Amino acid sequence: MKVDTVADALRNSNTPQPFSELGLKPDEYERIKSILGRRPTSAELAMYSVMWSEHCSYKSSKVHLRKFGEIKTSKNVLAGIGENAGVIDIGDGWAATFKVESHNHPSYIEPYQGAATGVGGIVRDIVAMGARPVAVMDSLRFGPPDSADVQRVISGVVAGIGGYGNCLGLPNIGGETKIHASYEKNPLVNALCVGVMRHEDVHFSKATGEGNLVVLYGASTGGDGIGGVSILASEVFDETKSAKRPSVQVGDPFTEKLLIEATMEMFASGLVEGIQDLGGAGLSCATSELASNGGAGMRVRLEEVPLRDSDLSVEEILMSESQERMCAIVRPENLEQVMKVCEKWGLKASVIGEITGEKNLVITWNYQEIVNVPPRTVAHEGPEYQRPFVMPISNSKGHTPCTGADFGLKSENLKEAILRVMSGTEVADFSAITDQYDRYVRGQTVLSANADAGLVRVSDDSTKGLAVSLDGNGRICAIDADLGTQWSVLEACRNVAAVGAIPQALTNCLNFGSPEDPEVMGQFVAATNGLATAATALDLPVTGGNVSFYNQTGETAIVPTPVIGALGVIDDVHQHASSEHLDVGDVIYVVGELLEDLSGSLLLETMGLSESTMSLPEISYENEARLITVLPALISEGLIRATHDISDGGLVTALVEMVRGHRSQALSVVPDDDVEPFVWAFAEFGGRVVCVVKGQSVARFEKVADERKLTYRRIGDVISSNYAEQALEIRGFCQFTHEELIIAFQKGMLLKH
Amino acid sequence: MTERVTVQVWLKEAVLDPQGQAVQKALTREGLPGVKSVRQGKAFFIEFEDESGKSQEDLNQLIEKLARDLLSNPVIEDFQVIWPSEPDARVIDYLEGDA
Amino acid sequence: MVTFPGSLDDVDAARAVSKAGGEPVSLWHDDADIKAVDAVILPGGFSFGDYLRAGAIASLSPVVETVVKEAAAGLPVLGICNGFQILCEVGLLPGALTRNAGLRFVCRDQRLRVEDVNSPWLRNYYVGQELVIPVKNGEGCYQISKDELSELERSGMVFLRYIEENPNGSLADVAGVRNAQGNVLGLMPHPEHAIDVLTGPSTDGLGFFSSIVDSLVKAG
Repeated sequence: MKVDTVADALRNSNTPQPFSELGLKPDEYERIKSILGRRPTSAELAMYSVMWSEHCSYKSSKVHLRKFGEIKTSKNVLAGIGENAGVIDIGDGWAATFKVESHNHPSYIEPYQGAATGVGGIVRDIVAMGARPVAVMDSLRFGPPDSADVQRVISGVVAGIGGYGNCLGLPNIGGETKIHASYEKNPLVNALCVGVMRHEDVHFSKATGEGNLVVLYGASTGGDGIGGVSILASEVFDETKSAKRPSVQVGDPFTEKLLIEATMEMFASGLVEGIQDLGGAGLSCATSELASNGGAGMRVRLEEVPLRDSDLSVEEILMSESQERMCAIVRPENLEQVMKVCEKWGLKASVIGEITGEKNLVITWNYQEIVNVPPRTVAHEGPEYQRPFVMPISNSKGHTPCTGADFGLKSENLKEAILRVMSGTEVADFSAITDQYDRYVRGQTVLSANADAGLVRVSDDSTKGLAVSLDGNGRICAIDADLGTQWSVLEACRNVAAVGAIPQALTNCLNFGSPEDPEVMGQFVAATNGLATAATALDLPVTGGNVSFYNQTGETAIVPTPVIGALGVIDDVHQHASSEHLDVGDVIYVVGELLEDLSGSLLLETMGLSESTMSLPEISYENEARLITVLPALISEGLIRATHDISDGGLVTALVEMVRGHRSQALSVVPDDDVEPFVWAFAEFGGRVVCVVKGQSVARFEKVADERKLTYRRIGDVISSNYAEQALEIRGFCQFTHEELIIAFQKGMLLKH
Repeated sequence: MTERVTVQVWLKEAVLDPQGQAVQKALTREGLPGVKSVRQGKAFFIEFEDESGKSQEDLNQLIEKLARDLLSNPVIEDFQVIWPSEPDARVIDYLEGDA
Repeated sequence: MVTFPGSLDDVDAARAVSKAGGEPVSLWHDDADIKAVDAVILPGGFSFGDYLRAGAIASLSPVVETVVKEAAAGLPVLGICNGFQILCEVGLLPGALTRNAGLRFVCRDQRLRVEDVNSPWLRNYYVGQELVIPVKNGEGCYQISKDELSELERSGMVFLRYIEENPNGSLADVAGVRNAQGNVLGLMPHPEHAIDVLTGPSTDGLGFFSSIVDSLVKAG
């Protein structure tokens, strides 16, 4: 194949190049020329164009994400923003790593593969940190489920997540599924992975050590996800190309499983000095990042890359996003063992280069130099845009709370309103979705779907557990992107606390419309401000995350949807709480400070009563932080039998969800007579949790809660029932049978069995 | 001498084929009238070099044995070995193009 | 327990064996030497990615060749989920597992009934006992000819049945079958995930592992 070499670039300096078709601006093209002192070769142009794209360089968001790196906390962070995933110390020499990433656009085009490869990508990021992945979660957002197109997306995405994750042997321990009109053509698929390791196992993606070898292993390289780079091929070459390039990356979870096992073996034997997974921008990303992070030079012989398609041009090989590939830096003396491990697991492995004492990343094709660049300029010195933004108007300063009476809601309509909310898609039977996920594999899952947070035991020989919650709220972020994001952070942390774990770190996936729209950009900036504010107030590091822009169709952007992942640690996994255990005679409390305010509630949205002039209530971090720290302590002391976080749909929704499945029990509660009934039932702020306490623990619970200054209110008791009888009794107002609730839950099902 | 052979494998009549049923429903929905049945199966397009000079008869027996022992599960599947009487242009295209 | 490329629940099976007082020994698919173990478990997972057919390629591996030979001589063998698929592929058990009738992967806490206990794997259960054990599979629909099924039912070779709801369309709600001798068992549900109430719906699965340990100890 004829290639465009560095020598060619020096010789033909005026050859026109399709830089704008590749997404580069004229000033960026000029900058590349000045970096190199000549025009770039085709391969170099391809590398810069992809690495400097929004997706890889975060050029629109970088300047705003910087504030996360500046948050100082007391937590022991072993790897922070900038690494493949954040790593935190969880005690006893254990460390946990977690991250959430989006794969939104591909999931509309090809839902199964889009979602599957999203899972694959995030799992590899966790492996690249040196951890064994132990669980996955997903946060999904779709349009209203009645349309055939949305059904196509939902069923494909769920099947893809299940298909890939189950085959990898990773339990799906929870997540969320939300509906909103703005997601109809822009579904959101945010995949999270959590991994566990010992401190000494932490690996970094940097290449160091002159003479060390660069080993590419895993699947062979094909034409996946090349996209626009093919322009170069047709510009420079006049080949008859087969038109059979897949436009979507296709994942093979079996190969990824082999990749995981082989990599774990390599780690265990200390065979790897540095490691990087191949994700967006494939080889060009892996090589430039490894070299740049290590401050080293690197030589790569591209002809050594195992190909599954011999028709690929050099640009295409460099840009290919073929899945299930990793790049390891290996000492020469360890090479033989590395190759043996790959052979044992049936993986292709190839030495494609080595670390040099030079400054640059040099890539050759059959001895012809096609790339010679300073790696930093490709991987870390991409453009940084200062996109113009218009901060959204926040009405929070002049916020006035609203109650049911403000909307003419009457207490005799309470039951009807409750059933309406229960019949919606927020509060529904998600089993058709969650039954497609294996929650048992690995034998460490304590809590999964339906619990407030997923909970896994760290290992067979430890009692420590990791709790993870993944939460977003487009509804309230549309009202106020800053405060809405802060409340979302609190929600995620409170979910973790509700199972008995103490939050330790945050990750995030920021899903927004086009950054070229100043209003959308303003929402983004506001959300980053909110996340930083909340993280600082709660003493939690933001250890990493992901930004997804351009989620819009034409002019219509999605509602601003920051998704927050919170990770917490519980010292004894047996001392957790959930809504599993309820006994007749138990006492029901609501713990936390109620804000008598229906603003931003699911109730108002369901009834069509939300207004654009709405605002959200301010946050008392004193109260919120107290709840998040004291609740796990009460749970670990055995004072609380069962919990459920109050969020969308308020207290009544939490009660209904708690009693679900408890066919021989019912909850009998009395609303406070000094609180307006709709507020009592549906208010969603401040942060509160329903706590059920055994009869004999009541005195001690109240004493300790008083000592720790925790606000609580006794609202009722667990009574005896049977399936045909009550599930929930709101004394003085209405009651519900188990059957009524089940029928309501099934009405909102997103996917039928 | 390059040999090309196709082995088709499908579920036996008596075996439940939910994929075939799902496809049948979809075909009906998409406008194919009077669909009576759909069975979903798979096809193996095999290209091999025979240097041993075996007779066509022997090769056929070998392929049938492999089809029975490996490519299909006789408990639930039937198979058919198809030798192209004329080179099948689509098969050749497929084998010679990208994998 | 045997590990194939793609096996997933081998670690979980090992945990269950330990819990029951046995010594778990790891066997690699490529190695025909089964290290003089007293029993073999073929675990759940997606061996070889379920390529060709679930369990098909695994059934050709050297370790399985040895297992087939030893099973004929009476070696106790338990196939769980993918392991059951392998045992059927290799002919140690009758019938075959196909795609779930509902076409979806199903993970559920499944109610089951024990129908027969003539096996060293089942001595700690009784006929009629009801269990709750997770099923998690996409290709768990048991199919077999009508005549063969009658034969199985008659000789008590169907040892486990789904009750209340059939998760995958299996003929006659068959969840597990054994060979005539009783030393080879296959079942779709995962007993290794029902050994600890912390992580499973019950401890009903432990009986398989305690039974084999007890049987082996008794046999000396």
